[in-house]
Amino acid sequence: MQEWILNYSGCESGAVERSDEARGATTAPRHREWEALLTENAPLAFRVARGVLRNDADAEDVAQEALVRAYQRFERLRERQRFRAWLVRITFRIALDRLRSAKRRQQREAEWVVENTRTATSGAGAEFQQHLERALEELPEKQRLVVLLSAMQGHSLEEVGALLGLPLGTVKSRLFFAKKALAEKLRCFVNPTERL
Amino acid sequence: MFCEPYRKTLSKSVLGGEALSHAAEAHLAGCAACRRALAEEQALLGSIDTGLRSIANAEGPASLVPRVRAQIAEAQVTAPAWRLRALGFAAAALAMAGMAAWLLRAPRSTLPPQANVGSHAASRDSSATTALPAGIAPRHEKAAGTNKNRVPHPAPAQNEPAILISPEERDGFERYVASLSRRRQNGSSQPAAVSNDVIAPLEITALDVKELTTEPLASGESK
Repeated sequence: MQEWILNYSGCESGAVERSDEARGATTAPRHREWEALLTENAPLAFRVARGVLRNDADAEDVAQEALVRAYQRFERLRERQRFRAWLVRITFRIALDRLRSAKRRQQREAEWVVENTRTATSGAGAEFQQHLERALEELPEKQRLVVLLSAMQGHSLEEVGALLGLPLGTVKSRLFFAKKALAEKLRCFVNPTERL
Repeated sequence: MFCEPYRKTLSKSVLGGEALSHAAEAHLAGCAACRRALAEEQALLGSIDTGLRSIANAEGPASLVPRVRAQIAEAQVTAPAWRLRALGFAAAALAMAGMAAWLLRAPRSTLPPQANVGSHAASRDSSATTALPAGIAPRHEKAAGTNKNRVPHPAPAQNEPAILISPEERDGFERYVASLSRRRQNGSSQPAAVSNDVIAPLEITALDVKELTTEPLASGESK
């Protein structure tokens, strides 16, 4: 791992040091593997963070932190095919930690209010989206992650289960209760006149 | 709202995507209220799914991957310096802890520092004692009593009195010691002269205590 870290900058520029060919031969495949995983999974990390934090700048910071942390512990990961699930968990955990930070929360709330007032005239769809984000934040963590992952493109429920290490039945159950809770919270915003 | 007997079935159909039973389908065909409620629920869930997809599939910023690479590269550069600094701190802390432990184990003394002690005690074992604080003996001297194989060491320096005097006083003291030793040498060569100076024991005469008598006061001296 250490050798690999030390060679990372050289590998990145495509100039793997040839002075120590044996070392280069072992680190280059690892680097290529990491680069492929980074390019493939960086959007996933961002989306997970964005789903939790509802803020692009914070989500980018969190995704960056999660990816760097994943890089630092990459050697410890024995099953490389579990990288995506591992990264999702790291990102989700860091995003939740950031979300719980009281100061940031206050800032975000203030931003949300400002944003809300700006977009209030942009239509019912935008307003509904804001309420949806609010309702999503109020969901239990387990349900929220399942909802987010299942809403991501290309993720079937089986894949969500594989990502989170959950049986399909558990994924379905969490998704059902999450959507039920969201529907109950958002019903009044669709047809308020009929519901009242 | 759905009619009560079909509420659970229709809700599961909307939320979980389950197929409707024949009975539920038959009820929907005949119940306009349930049809309307089902359409509303499906519209609501459709809106929720659309919203969730827009949240969950936000485009990641193009700067993310370069930022990650830059941070990793930066960490590589700073890591050795950081480690060296940490190593330095650890070594310093270890040295201070060792010094503190050594000072705590050594016996305390109220004597002033060794540098001001102008006595032969400092020169007796200069290799071991000159660098030590006052009153602290070298470790091998303290352990000498417990190790029988060890060669007996000269008298410990800390048992001899250390006197704080100025150089002038020390010179005067040395002159006095020299004159005293000369006088002793002279005295030992003339024992008869010394023996003549025998001091006689002090004689104390007994007190002459007279008997106490009472006499009347003279007239006119009364109170």
